[in-house]
Amino acid sequence: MPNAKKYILTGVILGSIAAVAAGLIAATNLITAKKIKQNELDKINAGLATIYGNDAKVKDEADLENYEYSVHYYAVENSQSEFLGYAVKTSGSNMYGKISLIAGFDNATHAFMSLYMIVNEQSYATTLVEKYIEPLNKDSSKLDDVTCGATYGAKLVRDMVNDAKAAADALWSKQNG
Amino acid sequence: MLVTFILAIISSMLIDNVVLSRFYGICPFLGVSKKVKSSLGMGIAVVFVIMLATIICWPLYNYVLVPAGVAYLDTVTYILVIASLVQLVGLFIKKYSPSLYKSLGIYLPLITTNCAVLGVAQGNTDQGLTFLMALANGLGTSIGFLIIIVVFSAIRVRLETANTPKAFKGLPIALITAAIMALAFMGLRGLFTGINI
Amino acid sequence: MMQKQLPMHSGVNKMAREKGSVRKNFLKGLFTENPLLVSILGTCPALATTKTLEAALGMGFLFTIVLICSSMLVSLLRKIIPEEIRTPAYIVIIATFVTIVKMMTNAFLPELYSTLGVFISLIVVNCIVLGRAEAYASKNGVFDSFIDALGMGVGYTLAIMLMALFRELIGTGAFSFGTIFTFIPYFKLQIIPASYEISLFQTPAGAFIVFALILATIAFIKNRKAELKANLAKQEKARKLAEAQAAAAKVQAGGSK
Repeated sequence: MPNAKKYILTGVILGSIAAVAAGLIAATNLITAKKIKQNELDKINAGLATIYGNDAKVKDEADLENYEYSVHYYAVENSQSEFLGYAVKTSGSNMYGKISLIAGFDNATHAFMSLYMIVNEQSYATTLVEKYIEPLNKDSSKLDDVTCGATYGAKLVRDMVNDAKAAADALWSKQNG
Repeated sequence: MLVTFILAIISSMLIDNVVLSRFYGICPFLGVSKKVKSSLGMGIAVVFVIMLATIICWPLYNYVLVPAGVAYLDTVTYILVIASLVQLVGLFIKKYSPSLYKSLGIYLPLITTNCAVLGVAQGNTDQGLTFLMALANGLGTSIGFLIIIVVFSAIRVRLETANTPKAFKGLPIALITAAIMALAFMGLRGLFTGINI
Repeated sequence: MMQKQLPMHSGVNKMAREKGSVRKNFLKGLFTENPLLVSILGTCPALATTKTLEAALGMGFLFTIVLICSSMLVSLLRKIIPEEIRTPAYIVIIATFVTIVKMMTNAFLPELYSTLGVFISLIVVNCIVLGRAEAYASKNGVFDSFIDALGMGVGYTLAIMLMALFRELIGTGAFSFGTIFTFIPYFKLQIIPASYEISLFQTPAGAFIVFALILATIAFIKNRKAELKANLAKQEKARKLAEAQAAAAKVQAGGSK
């Protein structure tokens, strides 16, 4: 039956092309996955340096559960091993795109200091940064001034910061017994 | 919840319009037939394909690819799903409306290369949207695309008989029209700033 | 001619044939068959990623890589892939290279990855890649496909860089380098004072306008050339007519004597 043979041959060829393709992609994944993780780590360190100063480093860190946006926290200390505060990494999205940021809280006052954007895939990303994030980082009381050209993004950032504050407060009360 | 869903649809339909702001689906948008009826047919076919693609690709990613650890095969999978869907929709149209099939002609297989379809499917999982939000994104995008190409083909019908400078005839004047439409839609950006949800 | 004389030495044939036509094959992608400006394909990324010159260069670079790799592989496998599954097979090949390029970019050029976003994945559905695979690579040898893909890729890159040039220059007045390709130090070349910028050109509307103006300019130049050519032909015809009339008048004068 020549027809059956043709179909089998067609199927085999398509299958083998797909298999080789999957193999190539898996190989690339092996090469690049580590570098991508390293990039993320570098970004986190850069973020902590922006918030706390250049000699900030991570004392320890762990995942957070049961929070709407907060996924991870870092206990930050400086080069003299003084505890600087908690930095909480949050991740969330709205209809305009994904946002992932680190919100830094000061150990002395438990207050919000500033934030560092890791991923900003909002459609109006530059507006969000210029009109909300940059003023906020200069003056942390402007958290609720969400009406800017990218109000939805700003609202998401505000909710994430508030969620991070709840997480940080819980960590401090756990620390203090 | 419902309010968020509806607002999400409206935002991807009007505010962050798929063609005029996000630039998906430009090729069919510019090459769209100057007959309003066939653009309507094409737009409806795109709505079908995008909705089916969203409904198939989102669960495929979250319940098959990610648990298997091969999340990076998303692009390959999506494009194969989309290509098959377009074939199926084509057969469906051929059977139930041969006249529409004939008037769509070459534009039907071109839905596979429509950036909007893959853009929505890929964007849903890249942004980590929930299934409801992914549906809203798909619905808003596809209906927004439909509205835009119908309006645009109606304008192009008029442009055909207008007194255009010779160098601008055809595509350039169509692009300027699109620019004016894009400007108009930019004005919708402030639409929801007053709402508190 | 040469091919007829040397039927046995197909290797020499190829070399002789390629000398002039390789250059032609490459250049056609830049000018006469420029994928963006002549065939009007691949417009989605051309409008979306041309906000800055660097982003456009990055996009063109990645696009060229995908185009070259997939054209060469399709050409390599052209005798093996059966007719019926041509399109799905090409799509799988292209999607594979796009995924590989996406992962490499995420690892080694992360700023480019976050600037271009989903448009790297959208190279899969770029009409140019699939079009060249079906129209050229499936019918020609690997080297020819490579040259064709290189020409098309470079042509596309130059075209989108042209768009980005205008959008960034008029939209912000300056060229900034080093934000995406971070191995170059960041510097900003302010050409027009910032207060004269027309930020419309950084918006989507501006992208449409720049594209329209570039196409209109090309159409204008083409029309001028065609007009000049038509004028020359008309003059030639009139001259020939005058000559014929003069000759006929001479014959008449000679005959009537």
